[in-house]
Amino acid sequence: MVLRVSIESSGESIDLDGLTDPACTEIKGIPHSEVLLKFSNAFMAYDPEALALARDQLAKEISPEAMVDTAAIASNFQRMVRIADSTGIPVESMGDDMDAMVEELNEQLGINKYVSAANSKKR
Amino acid sequence: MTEINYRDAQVPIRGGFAEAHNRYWKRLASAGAWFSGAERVAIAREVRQASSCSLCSQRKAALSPYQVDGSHDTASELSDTIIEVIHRVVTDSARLTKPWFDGIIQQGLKVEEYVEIIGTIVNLFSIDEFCRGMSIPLNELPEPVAGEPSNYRPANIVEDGDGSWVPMCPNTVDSGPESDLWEGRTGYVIRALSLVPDEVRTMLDLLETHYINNSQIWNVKHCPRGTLSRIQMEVVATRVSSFNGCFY
Repeated sequence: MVLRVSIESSGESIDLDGLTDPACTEIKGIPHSEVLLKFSNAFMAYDPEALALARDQLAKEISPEAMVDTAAIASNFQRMVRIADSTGIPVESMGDDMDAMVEELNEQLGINKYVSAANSKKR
Repeated sequence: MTEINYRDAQVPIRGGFAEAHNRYWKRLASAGAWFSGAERVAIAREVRQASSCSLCSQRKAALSPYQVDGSHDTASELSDTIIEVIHRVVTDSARLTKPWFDGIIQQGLKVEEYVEIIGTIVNLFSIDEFCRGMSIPLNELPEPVAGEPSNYRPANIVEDGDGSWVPMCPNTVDSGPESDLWEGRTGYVIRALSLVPDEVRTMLDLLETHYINNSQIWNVKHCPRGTLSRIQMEVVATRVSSFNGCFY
């Protein structure tokens, strides 16, 4: 959702369709998305060799500092999902327009099919 | 106390990480609201054990985790109920259900204790996952510090959690001991642990270090360190959350 708002705010037209598809290797229009996705995939696959390759590529293509921040963001979102899943929190309403945009995005990306939707999609 | 530093990492890691992680290590070792320092460190040890638990592996592979009975491979003397909470949240959180949560509470765990366990799990896990992402050895857990839990429970609590499983502070907390937690209104994922306010304080400290200050999340122009654009940051956040089946 924050991503969608970020993109709209940037005034760019970017197709997010592949973002939740592990087979998607690049989001056209987002610089270095390929290596960012490569790192994320290796991180979530618990594949140390692929992770090492992705780290090296990230450091070379963007910067070592960006590589550190990518690991930090990934680890943060390993945490946030567990908070949501273990406390059964609903998704808050952000107003009719935003809620409609969220619903549209959830459909587009297949997020409504996630198991955890049963707990969060209730308000 | 064990001092965390990342000086031996393959690339420079800005000092903010070690500072924030040391702040949490100090808190982890000390008595919390509902658990002693020794119990909190035991919870942390069990978080690390969960990833190699054979029961958790079998459950993860099963169509439903509730089809597989057995005992967890443990690393502590914590109760079976607490160990079940830790292992399930670490290894298979997307398939947690309200009946599972209700069963945990019926086994005698206080909801306040449950929230402190969740806070301990997720904060420790995020630090460990950062180390894994960077191929840095996990930090040695701290030695527990003697002390008694405070049994502190905020006075101003929404008992039904607005439909969540756990009670929490109201969306707006303008005064009192919890007024420092967030400004104005905030999301449920921030409020979720507020039955134990220090868990939120740690969460927000680590959130700012690893990702972004809570007050700036919806400021989509905000790019705290300039190493990645905000859109690039959100690509990583979204892909990782997608793997986790995170609807929220």
